[in-house]
Amino acid sequence: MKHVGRALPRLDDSVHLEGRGRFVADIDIPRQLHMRVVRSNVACAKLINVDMSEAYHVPGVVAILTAEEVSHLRPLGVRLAPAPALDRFLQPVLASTMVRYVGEPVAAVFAESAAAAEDAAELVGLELAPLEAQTVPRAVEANPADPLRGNAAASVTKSFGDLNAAFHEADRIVEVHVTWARDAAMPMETRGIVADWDDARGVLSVWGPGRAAHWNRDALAAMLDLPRSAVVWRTPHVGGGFGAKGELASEDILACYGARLLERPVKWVEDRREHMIAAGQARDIRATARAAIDSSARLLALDVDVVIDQGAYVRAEGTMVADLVAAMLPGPYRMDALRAEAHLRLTNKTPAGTFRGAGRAEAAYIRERLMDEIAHRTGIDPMEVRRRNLIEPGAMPFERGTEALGCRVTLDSGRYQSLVDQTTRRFSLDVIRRRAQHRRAQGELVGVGAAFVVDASAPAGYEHVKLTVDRRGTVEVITGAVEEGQGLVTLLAQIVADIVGVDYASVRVTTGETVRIPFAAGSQLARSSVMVGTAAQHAAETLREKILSAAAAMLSIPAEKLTIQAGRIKQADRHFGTILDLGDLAAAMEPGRTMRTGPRGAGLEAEGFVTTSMMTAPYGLVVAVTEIDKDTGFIRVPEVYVGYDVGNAINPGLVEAQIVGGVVQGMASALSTTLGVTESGDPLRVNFADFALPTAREAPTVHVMLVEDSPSPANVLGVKGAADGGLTGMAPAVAAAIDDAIGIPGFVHHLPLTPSDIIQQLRARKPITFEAAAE
Amino acid sequence: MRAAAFDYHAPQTIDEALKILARHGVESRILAGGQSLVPAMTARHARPAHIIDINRIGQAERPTISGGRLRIPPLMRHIDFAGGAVDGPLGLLMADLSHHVSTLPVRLRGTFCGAIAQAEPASEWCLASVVLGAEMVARSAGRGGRAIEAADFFETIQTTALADDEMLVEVQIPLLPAYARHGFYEVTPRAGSFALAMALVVYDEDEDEMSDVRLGIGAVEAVPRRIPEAEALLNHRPPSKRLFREVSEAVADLVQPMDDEFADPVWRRALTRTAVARALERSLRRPLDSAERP
Repeated sequence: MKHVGRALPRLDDSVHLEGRGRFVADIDIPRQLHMRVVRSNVACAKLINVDMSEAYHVPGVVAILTAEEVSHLRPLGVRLAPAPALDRFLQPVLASTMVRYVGEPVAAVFAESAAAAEDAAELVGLELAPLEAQTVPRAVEANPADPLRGNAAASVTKSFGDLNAAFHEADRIVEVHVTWARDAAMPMETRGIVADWDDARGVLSVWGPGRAAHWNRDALAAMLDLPRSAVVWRTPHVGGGFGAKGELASEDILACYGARLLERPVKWVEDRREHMIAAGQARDIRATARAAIDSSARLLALDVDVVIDQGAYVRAEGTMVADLVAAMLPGPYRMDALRAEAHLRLTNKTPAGTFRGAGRAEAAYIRERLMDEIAHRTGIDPMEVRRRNLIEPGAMPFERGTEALGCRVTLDSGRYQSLVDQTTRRFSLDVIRRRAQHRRAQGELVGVGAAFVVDASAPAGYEHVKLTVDRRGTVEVITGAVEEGQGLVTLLAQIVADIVGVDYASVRVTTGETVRIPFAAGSQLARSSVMVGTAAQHAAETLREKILSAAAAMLSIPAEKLTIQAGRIKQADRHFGTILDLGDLAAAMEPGRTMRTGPRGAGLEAEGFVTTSMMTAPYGLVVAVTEIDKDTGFIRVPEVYVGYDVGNAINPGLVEAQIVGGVVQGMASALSTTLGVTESGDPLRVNFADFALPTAREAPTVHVMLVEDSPSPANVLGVKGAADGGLTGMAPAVAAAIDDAIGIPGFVHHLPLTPSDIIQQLRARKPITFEAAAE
Repeated sequence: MRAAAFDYHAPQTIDEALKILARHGVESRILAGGQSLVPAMTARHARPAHIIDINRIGQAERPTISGGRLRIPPLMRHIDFAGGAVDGPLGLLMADLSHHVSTLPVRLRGTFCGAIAQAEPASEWCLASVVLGAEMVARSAGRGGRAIEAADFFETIQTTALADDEMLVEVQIPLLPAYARHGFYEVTPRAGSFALAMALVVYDEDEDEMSDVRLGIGAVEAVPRRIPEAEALLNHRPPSKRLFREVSEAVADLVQPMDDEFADPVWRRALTRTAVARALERSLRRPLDSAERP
C-alpha cells in the first residue's frame, strides 16, 4: 500500500477524540509544588515594594520569589532573529524597579496546592506608583514616565533597486494607510510547564510544549549554569500552538529555577486570563505603503513603512516579525525597486510574540490592499492587476532580492498565473462574482474579494531524524520537532512506511524529546513537513538499504532480488512467501549476536540529516465572499475558496485541515478577535465571553483545491510548508470583499472591522437602499 | 482559576436552605446551575463565604400548571423547555426562547430561576417574565413567602428585589390563550454570546387584528421592560409592514441604550429597531409544533 499522497486518518485521532491525551496539566509528580505568578495590575508604574508578609501566612506556602532572589538570572534571550542592540529591551525574569504592562510577572508563589498558591498570590501586596502609560507607539525618544530606555527597539530595512528613479518614472503613485489591531493565538490548551530537579543525579527534567525543545534545553542549561546533558526536555501532547507556545518565558524560567532551588518538582499551568495578558501577542501594525506603477498598472517600486507595536519588551522572537514583514512585502509580484522598513516600537502593552502567519499575514494585508487600490485607481479588474504583475514560471527560482531570518528570500518554484486560472475554473469564480453582482442589484450587500499570497516556509536550517527497528519489527521515528495537532506524527509515518515497506499504523513516532536525539531546530515557520520530512526520507532510504543488504548477507540472495512488503522481506519476483520478518532481521543485528556475514554491531538503525539554504515558497489564491446585514452591520463570511500549491501534499487531508483552520483563524482576526487596552493600558478582553472566537455557526464553508504544480527544488520530496496557507490571505480577501459589498473601494483600512463601523458608513452615505429594503 | 475558600452546604429541602440563608445572608450564595456563579467565583469576582447548593432539593425540576399559571420550580433547566415540556402557545414561546439561551453546555446545567435571580440585562428569561407578567415567589425563613411582579423584580444590572435572606422558590407565568402568537428576535454577534438587543412580542390573534399586545425589549437598557407606547400602536390594528416599521422606529426612539464595550448607544439603538422589526415579522410565522422541532 502506498501512503504518501493519500488523505489517511491521523494516527492520534482516537487518542484525542476519546480524551486520552496527556497534556502538561495531566502530569503530576509526587511532592510537587504549584506555582502562581503575581502580576502587575498597572500598565506603567514604579515598583516600590513587594509585601509578602500576609501571603506567607497562607497554609501550604513554601516560598515566594521576587526580583531580588532572581537578580542573577539573565533576561530571556532572543532565539529568532537576534541582534545585540536588543539587549536593553529584553524582559527580565521578574520586574524589579518598574512594571511596564498589565500582566508583567513581579513575584512567584510556590505552594503545596494550586489553590493555596492562588490564595497567597492574591495577598502579595504590590506597592506601585502609577505613571502615565503609553498605549500607542510614538516616535518620541522615550516615554517620559520611563526615560531610561527609548521607544525605538529596532528597525529593519529591506531594499533593492533604485527607488527614486522608479518613483520618478512612475505614471502614477498609489498610496494606502492601513492598520490591524492586536490579536493573539488562542490555543485550546494554555501554556504550562512541569519541572523536576533530581539533585542526586543532577538532572533537571522538564515537560512542556516545545516547538523548540532543544533550544529551550540549551537556554535553560546556560541560565541555570548546568551542562547541556543535565537538562532533559520532554514534550507531552500539545493542544495547539499557533505561535503562542513553546518559547521560553519568565514563567518557565521561574518554574525550573524554583524546582532546583526548592528541590521539589514545580508545576505551572496558565489560566485563560493569564494567557490573554501574559502570553505573546501579535499583529498590531500600522503601515503606509506607496506603489509606483506604469501606465499599464505594472509595479515599478514599493515604498513601505510599518510600525509594529511590540508592547513592553522584546522576547525570544526578537525582530522576527519585523524581518518577515519587510522581506515578504513584495510577495509574488515583479518590481524594480523596494524600500520596506519595519519599526519595532515599545509601549505599555503585553509584549508581542508570534501568531501563525507571523509577518507574512501582515505583509499580505498591506500589499494586497495596495493592489486593490491600484485596481481602483486605474479602473482595471483587481485580478487582472495581480495577474499582470505575477512573476512568470520561467523566472523561477526567483531571487527576491531580500533576506529573511538570515536566509535569502528565493521563490523556489511556482506557476502563479496558472494557479489563478485553475482556481477560477475549478470554483467558477466568475459565476460567484456575477451572482454577488446580481444580489447587490436586488439591494443585498454581498461582495467578493481576493488575495494572492506567497508564504515563506522552512528558511535555512537543519534537521535530524533517527530510525530504529526492534525485534517485533516496529519502526520508530525519532525527531526533535513536535506534534502540536498539525499531524506531524502521521505524515512522518507515511513517508517512512512507503520507503521501508511497512504499514504506517505500525510506525511509532517519538517527538520533542531531547534525550532521544541530540539536535533539532523544532517546529515553526511551516518547517516540520519540509525539514523533518526530508530528513525522515533520507533516514528511511538508508534504513532500507541496510535491511536489504543485511538480509542479502543472511540469505545469500543478492539484495537487488529482495524487497520489503508489510514488514516482511520477500523475493521481488515472487508473489508469495516471506523469507524473513523484519523483526527477526533486527534481532539478528543486535549487538552480541554473531551474524556470520553482513553488518553487525549497533542494531538495525539509521539516521538522516538535512541542511538547506533555500526556503520554500508555497503560494495561493484566497477568495472570500461576505454578506452584510444592513440593519445590524454584522458581517458574515459564508464561503471561502482557496487554491494552494504545496508542491507535494504528503497527506492532502492534513494540508486541507491546515488551510481550513487557517481560514477560520484569519477570518476571526479580520472581523472579531482583538485584544485592545484602555487609555490607561488595562486589557479590555480577558475571557472568552469578551474575546469572540468564532464558533461553528460563524465559520465559513471552505472550499480547498490543492495543487501540486510546482514541487520545491529545495528538497527531495518537493514539499512546501502548509501551516500558514489559508490564514495569510484572509485579512486582505475579507477586506476586499467588504469593499465590494458596500461598493466603496478602499473602505476597509482598519481591521478588525466592526459592525458599528459598517452602520456608521451606511448611515453617512444617505441615499442607500437601507430604507427601500425595509419595504 | 480556583475559587476562594468557602463553606459548602447541601440542604435537602427548601426550608433547610432558607435557614442557612437566614444565618449567613449576604455572605452566602445559592448554587443552582452555577453557570454564572461558578465562573465569577473562579475569577474571584465573587467570593461568597457560604455556598448553598440546592441541587439535592427534591421535586424541584418539573413544572406544574395550576390556577391558569405555569409554575416553574427552582431547578428546572433551560434545556427542559426545549422539548415541549409545556403545552400550548406558552410552551411554544418558552421552547423558542430556550434555544437562544447561551450555548448547549449552559442550557444543560443552568436553571430558569437562576437566570431570573442573576438578572443579566441580556437574559431571554428575564425579558420573557416581564413581557408575560410573571410573578416571582420569594421566600425567607423569617417572613415566609411573598410574590413580586416581574416589572418590580429587576432593579438594575444583576440586582433584584430579593432580600439577602430570600430565595426565589418559584416563578409563575400566566398561560396564554390558544390563539396567542409570539415573535422573538435577538441580535448576537456570535452563537452563544450575550445579545446586544432583543425583542419579544406577544398578542392575541383576533380576527385580522392584534389584541392584548405585549411588547418588551431586553439587552438594551439595564433591565428588560415593556414599551406601552408600542403596544398602544399595535393594539386593535391588523399587522402590516408599514405598522411594524412605525413601531420599531418608535421603540428605537424611546429607549435609552446602554453604552458598553460591545455596543455604543447609537449602534444599539439601530439594533433595537432591527430586533423589534424582526420580532414582529416572526410573530406572523406559523408557530412550529414542538414535535416538528429538529
